[in-house]
Amino acid sequence: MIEATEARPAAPNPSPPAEEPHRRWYAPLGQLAVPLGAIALAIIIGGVVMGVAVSSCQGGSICSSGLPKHISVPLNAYWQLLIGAFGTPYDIQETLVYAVPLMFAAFAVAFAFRGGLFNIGAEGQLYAAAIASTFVGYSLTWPGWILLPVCIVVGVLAGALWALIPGLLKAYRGAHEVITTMMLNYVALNLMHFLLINGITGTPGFMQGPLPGNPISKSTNTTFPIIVPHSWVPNAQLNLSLVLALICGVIFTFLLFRTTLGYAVRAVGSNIKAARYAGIHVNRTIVLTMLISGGFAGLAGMSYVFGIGGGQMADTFDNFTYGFDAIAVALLGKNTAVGAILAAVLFGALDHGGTTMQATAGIDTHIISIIQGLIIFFVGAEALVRFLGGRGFTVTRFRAAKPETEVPAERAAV
Amino acid sequence: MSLLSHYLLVGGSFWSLGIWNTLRQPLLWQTTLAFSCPLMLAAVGGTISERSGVVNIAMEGMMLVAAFFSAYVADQAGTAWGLGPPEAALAGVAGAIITASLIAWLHAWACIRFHANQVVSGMAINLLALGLTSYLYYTLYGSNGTPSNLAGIPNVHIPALSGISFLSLGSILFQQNPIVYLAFASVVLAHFFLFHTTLGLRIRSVGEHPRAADAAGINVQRLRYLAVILSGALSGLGGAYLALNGPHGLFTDNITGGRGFIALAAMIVGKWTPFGAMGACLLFGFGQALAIQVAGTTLGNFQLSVYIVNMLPYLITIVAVGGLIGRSTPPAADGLPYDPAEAA
Repeated sequence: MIEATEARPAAPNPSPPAEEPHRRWYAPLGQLAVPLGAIALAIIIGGVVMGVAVSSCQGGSICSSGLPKHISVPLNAYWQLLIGAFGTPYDIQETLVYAVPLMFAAFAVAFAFRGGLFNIGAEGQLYAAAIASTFVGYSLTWPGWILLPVCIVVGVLAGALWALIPGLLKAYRGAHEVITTMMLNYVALNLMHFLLINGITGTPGFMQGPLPGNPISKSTNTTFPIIVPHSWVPNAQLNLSLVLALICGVIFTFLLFRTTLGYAVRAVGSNIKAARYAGIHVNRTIVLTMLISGGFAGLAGMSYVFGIGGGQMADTFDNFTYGFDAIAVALLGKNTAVGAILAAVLFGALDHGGTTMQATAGIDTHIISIIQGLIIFFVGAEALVRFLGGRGFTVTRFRAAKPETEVPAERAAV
Repeated sequence: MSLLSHYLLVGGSFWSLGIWNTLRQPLLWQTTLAFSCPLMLAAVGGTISERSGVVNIAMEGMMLVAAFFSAYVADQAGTAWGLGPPEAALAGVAGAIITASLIAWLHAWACIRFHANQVVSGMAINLLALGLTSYLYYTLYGSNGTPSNLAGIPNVHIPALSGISFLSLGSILFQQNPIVYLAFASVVLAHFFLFHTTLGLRIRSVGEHPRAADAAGINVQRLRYLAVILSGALSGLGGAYLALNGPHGLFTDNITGGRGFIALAAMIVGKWTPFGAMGACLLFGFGQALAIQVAGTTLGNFQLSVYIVNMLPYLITIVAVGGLIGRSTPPAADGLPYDPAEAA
């Protein structure tokens, strides 16, 4: 992939990407403290918001337990959410269905983080991939077993190409990727609206389906096969994209930790100067990082359309904000594949359980966005979590701990 | 429109005449100013924040929270506190500025005190603001929306000047919303503040070289708090404008719709200067106004979709940061946390 080693003469080894020198057996538990603390804080604050804003408790035995309203409302809501997310086999598979696109998108964000890049544009990359793969999916009438892999490849390529623009601009023009990817999100969003609605009265969008005025694309000729037999779980939607996501988790880890390219990515991510002195092609690594990141993001969009979307791309796609939630999922998962998968399941549970919570406990689902936003905030401000967790109260002069998540430290300027 | 000009519009041979007809309409320029106003306020605020070294991509969230609370406070002031419409609207504006400043303080607190990644914190605030306002909106107002008799801030006709008929300047410039004038004033004031006062110089020094500023006896952290909260207050005024402009105020779900990000783009295209940001905001505002004017109309053989026009600010920004039309470089210490204990 990349000839980082051969281009390195007698130069010293680049500083190996952060590995703790003395790993104790309980070290992983310490790593979990901040993510778990962030989740706990977000849940508590979300509960306070519910307790204050909601007038009456409804739809559960907790409500009639005689607890004061400020406590019974959030308790009941979270209980309904838990039941909604994991209460039945159907709910469990539905939670996973919601989690799959998030896993792909989180791999995208995490891979870029590892390379010192902040890919806010997973959202735009997944639109681009959804558009391209949907187009190919309904244009070609090949049998499903060949069309589906083709659509997967098209999705990966489209996401990668959409990410190539910020990659090239970053590597060769120094344009900050946060700005370029964010702007490309809105370009992709408008492109999607244009293709599905057009915005000119009387003219349907280029990809719009046969129903006039209905901003939904034509149907693709294939979708991901369902992997949960309907004899087990009626109406199950969990499909092969979950398997693809798990495979991608393996690919993610292998690429990062077992290949020369992954080494170069991590070296550029942890110390760009050292990497350059070691003979690593920094610019090329940046471009490749964005390409791979965009490819993962592309799978998120593609797997959504060919999975839950049932082969149709709808204008309401932007309600899901997978690309933004993925930032939280990646940070929460400490930019590892396993962490991202677990965090994605948590977010899937919040999303799916939230709909049940709205139906039974009468709490608006937007509370879930509040909780997710708070999780990102607290994970981003780890020192704040440690501070609120008590460590800060004992130290007279507070000093921020070195961030553990590999957020690009080189330059966060916009 | 005469038959001839209609023919020219549709026929395509002299479609430039169609553009001329569009450009001649005072409404186009009025809406340009109206659309630019919230962008300008947020972009100027962002400029001040980033000049002090704190990346602010949270203008979207600050404006959104401010817009909601301006409507909510104006509603409460009108019903529960029994204020008349003008006072209720003013209370709404005050509420907007206060809530947005609080959100800005939260961003500043996380970034300055706890060295949070400033982009992550900004993203989180944007998501949080969207969740919070949607949640409160649907919980408090349900499907009915904000009351239709909500107090608003109507446009004012400036005596004498508003009557100027030359190029319709009177109706374009002097029949605007008071907040539009405040937006232009904020540009001039921010320029004066940043480049012609001691405090402004200090804010810029903190954003360029905090260690040197610290050594010169400047309180880096305090100035950064000040700059970020100022930017929140300005975004707050922009948010209040979105909800309260016109005779009656109105809040809808996600009322900002990405304007905070366009303001961010304008700040960058304007190269982190108030007047540059103003120019970019006017350009982007013009683009949006034009998109509405020409939506669905025909220019020659070419029909223009709103969505294509909407892409333009973002594409211009990408070109601008790509250095193709004059490189935009941020302040040197933008985004870098500063710890006085490390410097000592």
